[in-house]
Order: sequence, then structure tokens, then C-alpha cells
Amino acid sequence: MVGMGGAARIPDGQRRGLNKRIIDPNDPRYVSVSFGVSREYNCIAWALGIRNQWWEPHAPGSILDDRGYWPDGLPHDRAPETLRELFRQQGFVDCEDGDLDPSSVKIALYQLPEEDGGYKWTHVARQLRTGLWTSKLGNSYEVTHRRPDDLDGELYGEVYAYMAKLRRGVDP
Amino acid sequence: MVEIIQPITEPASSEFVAEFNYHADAWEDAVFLTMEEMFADEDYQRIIEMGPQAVPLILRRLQAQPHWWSPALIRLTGVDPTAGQARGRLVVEAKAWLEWAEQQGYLTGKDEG
Repeated sequence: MVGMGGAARIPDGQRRGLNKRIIDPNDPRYVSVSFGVSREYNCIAWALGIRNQWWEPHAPGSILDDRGYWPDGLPHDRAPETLRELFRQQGFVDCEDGDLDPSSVKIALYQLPEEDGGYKWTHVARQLRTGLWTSKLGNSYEVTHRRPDDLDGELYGEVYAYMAKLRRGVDP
Repeated sequence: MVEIIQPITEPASSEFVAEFNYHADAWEDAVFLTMEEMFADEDYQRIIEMGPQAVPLILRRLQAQPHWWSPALIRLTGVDPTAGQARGRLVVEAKAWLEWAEQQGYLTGKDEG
């Protein structure tokens, strides 16, 4: 690198940003993997069919303050119940599983264990009319996968809840 | 009411621009799962540490393609022209910053980025 002005180059392995290959696009569990999709929305927005807004809690006064959208009245935390409440406010109700029901849009909520023994929510995936699942992974990836547990692992943990609401004609 | 601050019109050195571009490219290219990770990133934090001279360079990038530069710009300028408007909408946020930049006299010099 020329002309770095004395800046210390950060080895790739020490970056907080994840390597681009957080998932293997050739993994047979994924029907399609799109990289470099819009950075305007995240998984929660995508589960609601929104493509121009990033939904994320933020501690007031922090660098995140007022950046991501978070519904009024919801705690600004990553407690699994908070995410479930968010989707209740959006018309979803708890359901048993992720099996295809043509009359419903289903979502799967994911959580990871924390060091204190609790859990934090990490992700939400949405079922398509075809029975496949769609996920927006952070600021870059959009993935179509066969089953909710295709995303289980170190990144997102595992599914802790399924929810559903009435499918409209416009829902994909 | 937007606070009027003196825009930085003095061209940054080529070394400064190169360092900025190195960190900005790395950050824009990285995959982040959350905004929390996005803003805690070392490259992002390093750009904030580079000080107000980075502001015109950030604004040029924002003009070319919206990205979540707002927290860095707030830290570097002390103002937030997006306050209460954006609510998680990147395009709204970027538009507010570019309007502010226009008012403040940024984006009128030669392209340094």
C-alpha cells in the first residue's frame, strides 16, 4: 500500500467486519445467494417486506442513537422476547413450526446464548410462498434457503420461535 | 436549525487521502450483521480519529453512494442535520447530509477522494 501516512494496516483476521465469505454460496442448503444487495435494510425489515429501512435497537446517547429504526415503546435490547414482541406489534402470532401453510406468512426467530447464561436475538427469516425461506444477512447478503435451520450455527445460533400472520395476495 | 460551522476547504495531503481511502474502502467492503458492528469497526473508528479533514472526503463518498456515514459525520462536525428525520432510512439520512454540505460550502472544490 502506497502513501498510507503511517496508518497501521489492520490484518484481515483482526477486523471486526466479517470476511465476505461468511457463508459458502455453493453450499447445497442455499438455493440462491446474492452478495452486494442493498445496505438500506436488514433482516427484520426484510422479514416485514421493507427494503428501505434498517431496524435495530440503539442505546440513547450512543453512536447508534437515532440511526436504526426501532418502534416506540419497545425496549432497546436484544432479549429474544423483545423481538417476538416487535413482530406481535406487526400482526404476527406465535405458531408451532415452520411448515408451509399457504394461508400464512411465517417467520423464524433466531437466538444465540450469551456468557451470562441468557440469550440474545440474532436474526429473523421469512418463508416464501414456495415454502423456501429468505434471509437478509446484515448489510450485504440475501439468501434463499430450504429450511430455517440451514442458518443454524455460530453466526445466528438457532431458531427459538416461529410466528405467522395471514398471507396477503401481495406477499411473495 | 443547523449550526453553521466553517467548512474545511484546504485540500488534504495525498497521504491523508490515501489513508482515508484505505480505511473507507475496507469499511465499505466489509460485511456487518448489525449497525453496532458497523460503527465499532476499526476502520470506521480510525476515520473518526483522522479528524474534521476527513469530512469532505466522507461527503464525496456519500454523494457517490449512500452508506451509513452519519455517526462519523456527527462526531466530526458536531451537528446532526438528520436528527429525527431518518428513522433508519439511509437515503433520507444521506440526503439530509448532502443538503447540509451544500449549505456549508462543502462539495464545491475539486474531487479529492
